[in-house]
Amino acid sequence: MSGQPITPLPRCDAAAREDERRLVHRLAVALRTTGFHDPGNTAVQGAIAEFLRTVRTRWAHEQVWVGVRNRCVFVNDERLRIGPSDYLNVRYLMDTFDRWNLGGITFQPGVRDAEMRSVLYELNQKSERGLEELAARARALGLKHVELTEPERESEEPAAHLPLRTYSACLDVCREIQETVREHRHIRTRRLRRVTQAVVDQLLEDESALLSMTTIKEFDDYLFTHSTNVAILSVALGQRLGFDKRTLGDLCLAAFLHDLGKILVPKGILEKPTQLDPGERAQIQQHPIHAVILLLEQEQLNQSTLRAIVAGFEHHINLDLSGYPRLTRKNSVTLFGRIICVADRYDAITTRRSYRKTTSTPHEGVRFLLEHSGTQFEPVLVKLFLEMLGVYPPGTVVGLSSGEVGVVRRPPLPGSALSRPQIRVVRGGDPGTILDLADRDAAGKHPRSVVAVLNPDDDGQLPALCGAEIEALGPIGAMIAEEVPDPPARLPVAR
Amino acid sequence: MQKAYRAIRFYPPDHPLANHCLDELAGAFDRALADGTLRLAVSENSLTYEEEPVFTTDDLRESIPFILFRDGIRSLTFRNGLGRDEAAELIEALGQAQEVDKADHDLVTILWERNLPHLEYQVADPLLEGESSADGLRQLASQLQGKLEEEKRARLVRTPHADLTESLELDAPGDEVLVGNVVPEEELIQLERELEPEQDILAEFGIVLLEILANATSDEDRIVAVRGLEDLASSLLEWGDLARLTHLLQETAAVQADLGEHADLVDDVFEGMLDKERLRASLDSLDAAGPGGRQELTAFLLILGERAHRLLIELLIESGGKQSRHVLLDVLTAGAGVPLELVLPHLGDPRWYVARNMVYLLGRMKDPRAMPHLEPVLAHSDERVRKEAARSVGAIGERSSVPVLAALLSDPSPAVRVVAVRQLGRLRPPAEVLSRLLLQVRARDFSTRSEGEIDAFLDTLGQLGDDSAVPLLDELWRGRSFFRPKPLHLRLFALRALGQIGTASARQSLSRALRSSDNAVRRQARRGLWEANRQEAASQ
Ligand SMILES: [Fe+2]
Ligand SMILES: [Fe+2]
Repeated sequence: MSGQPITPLPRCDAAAREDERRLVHRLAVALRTTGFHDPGNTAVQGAIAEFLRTVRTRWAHEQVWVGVRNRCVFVNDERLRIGPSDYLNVRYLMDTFDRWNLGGITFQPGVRDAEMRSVLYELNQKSERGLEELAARARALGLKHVELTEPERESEEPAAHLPLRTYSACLDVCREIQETVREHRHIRTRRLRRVTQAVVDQLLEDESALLSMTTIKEFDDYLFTHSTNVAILSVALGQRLGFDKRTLGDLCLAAFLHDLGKILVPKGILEKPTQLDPGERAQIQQHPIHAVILLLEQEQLNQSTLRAIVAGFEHHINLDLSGYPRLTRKNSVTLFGRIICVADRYDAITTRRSYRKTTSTPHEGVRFLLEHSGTQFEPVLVKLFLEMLGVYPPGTVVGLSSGEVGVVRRPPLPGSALSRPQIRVVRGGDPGTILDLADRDAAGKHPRSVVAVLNPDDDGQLPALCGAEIEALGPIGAMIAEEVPDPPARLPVAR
Repeated sequence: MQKAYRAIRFYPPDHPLANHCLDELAGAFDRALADGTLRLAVSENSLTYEEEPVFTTDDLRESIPFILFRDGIRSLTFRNGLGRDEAAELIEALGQAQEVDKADHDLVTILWERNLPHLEYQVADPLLEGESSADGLRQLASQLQGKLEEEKRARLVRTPHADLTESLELDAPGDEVLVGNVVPEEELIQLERELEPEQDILAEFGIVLLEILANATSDEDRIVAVRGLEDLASSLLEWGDLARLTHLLQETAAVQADLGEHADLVDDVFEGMLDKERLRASLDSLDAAGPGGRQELTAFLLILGERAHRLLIELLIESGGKQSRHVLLDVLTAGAGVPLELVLPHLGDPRWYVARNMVYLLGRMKDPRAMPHLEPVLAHSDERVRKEAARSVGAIGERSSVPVLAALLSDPSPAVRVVAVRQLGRLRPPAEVLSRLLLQVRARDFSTRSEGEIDAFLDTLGQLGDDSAVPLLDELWRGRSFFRPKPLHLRLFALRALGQIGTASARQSLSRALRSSDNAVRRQARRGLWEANRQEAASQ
């Protein structure tokens, strides 16, 4: 690699337009508020008034279009940069547009409070026939200053973005990288990028499906699933920080390669079932340095590889600079390093390892992060991580107040309680059924709540996949839905 | 599109021709997309629309189909609404991809990162398209199946279960915390503010390399780290990022100092900086930009130390800019200066400024061994060289300097004479020099010389003179002349010199001047007497 200059890459971020950003933020807040309260509520009125004020100040005499393309928000053809504080609101907006297959909304000058209230109310209803139905309702309401527009592209998804395929491609590329590095060849970066890009695309498209895949642990080789899981968890966190696509791509690559250095650590040490002696521990602790050395030996250095190198070096350095490698000059950890550190530790402690008798449940995993927030981990990231996966992250086996046992398949959605994920019943009741613990009965009460966290065979968790593609796959879907032959009368819960 | 692409490749982006091509392209897209979408299939040498080739070429290297095809793109779909800016971005991306050999950055990544809203592309990729990963999928499925079958018999152990939301310290926890309420708005805004300045990845990369270098346990690791540092440093030099580069090299030097027997390995980093073309580029850009970046460049060159001397002297010889000359001379004269043997060969250079710069270096190094080499330069045909030589000879300050400088008192160039007389004043030479000086002051043309020269000569005479100079000075301030009156400044400088000499006879002369009819003369005489008294008081 020597003699090759590092390639600087031009930045092409979306514009940080203040008025436009405010407009979208207020529209999203108004939409969310309308979804949680009835139309007469003061919070709803306040949010709509805020939105209309923005429209009237900046777009008093011209129409303004707010739309979604490629999971990006546009205002009059200008792509907006989304900051961390906008993320959940904007995601709610995009999900709502998606649900209705809505491309965008045009607001004409003179748009009124009552029109806003009805259109937001309609948007929050359940969609059965998509845009056609929504447009019919809008016509019936006689909206004059609000127009609904169709999406510009038909919503056929390219095959590359299917979650299971993406996950499996990650494992393949990981295997390939391992061979390449062992044979001292150069990593095929294009191929690697195709895959990391697919991960980012998939997460932008349907986050929960890919997040649920991180409950696959130890398939074929620990390093393959671990690298993939850390990449997915890191990008999902990065998304909440409002990173643009390119930064997410870099983060994905860095996270995916973080343990590259382990390829140089003898397998016997990595998988040793007993306590490591100091020499062996020292060898393991070399892996962040090996990662840097291996990446440096690759042909090219550019912004993305530099970020991967730095993050690879940093991923065992805690926020308070404890951990390893030993430092002499470095006095802070980069944001990428902090993100990967959180994702890495979570995946590592929730994965079964030969040297541990019991594996932590995902619930204990997030608790571990919270306990070490501020010392090992960046506190804001820990909180975002908890928000992302919930109190009972996917894969957690939970006992319900109804007596059923279920595995968490999808974290709670924005606006739901952190402790109310979506689960699949695995024992008792009707195995295979999907229950959303955030649902309420006719009396407005939650019929089921989590009362216990269970550890299946000391493995910590169960794989819990979700998403249309996986359910359509056949064997797995059928398997999960299959009736448990002999449901035990009482749960085999031991203390 | 091909036309616009060519135009962009060969003309700068603001060139009218490039602009015109872009307008045309945007117009063409507008017409083609008027009724929806346009999907072009990509092959190695053509673009086809509904089986109909719309563009074919045999010139593979420069053509769009080839660039697209090479990176695995099999089709492009343009959607209605694609405007001029997007077209420009697309063309730019194609241009970037052409440099892919250098950048290791493929077109798909470029397009993916740009995320153009009206362009879609289809990439052929065996990994993501199924065939090769089908095995993996099947394995995955059967593994998961096995896992779930086991699960039916799994022993479920109740584990500690906590309300994690308690530790969040939210203002009003309530019984259920909602997704969206976990991170307080202020913290998110704070985080956003911190994210604003992009992480300085180059600096971070440098620190990582230094950490590895400092703590490495094998020479192999050290060498890789040094190579990384070399690459980083030469990239920074190429981009002219001197502030970062200087900092990196300073840190590298600090690490090197602690490396003991392995320290030599690190030399490569500094030696890699001795790239004449790049250093010249830095100097040229300094000359173009003005003195603003002088300190930065000086600091950088100083770190390179002795190893850069030969190269810097070459650059000094070749570069004509004022700023770069300043920087190079500052760097070359810092510390112990340059070894004589690097300078002497260029002393006889036919270009006057080269000789002048070398003479300057010799003077700043104050090495007496340079004296014999300087003497011939005192006869240089260019007065600017002689002047510098006089200064350097004075700076070296050897006893042998005095006669050399005394000889220059009668140099044909006033500028050289002034320097010589000033240097002599500084050197406090032996008495015989005084007669050479008096000879000059007595010269018939002395009163017609420039005010500056008269000032310098009479000032030096005041410093070195004794009673023997008093009659001449007395005559000068009286200003009597057979031909024409002496200029007033000459009379005043003479009075000043008398004050500096301060002997009894000098004071007598000054007292006489107090009775002059000229106001200015009287004032200067008073000042001179005061100076003479002060000196006397000080010497007692
Ligand atoms: Fe690691
Ligand atoms: Fe790891």
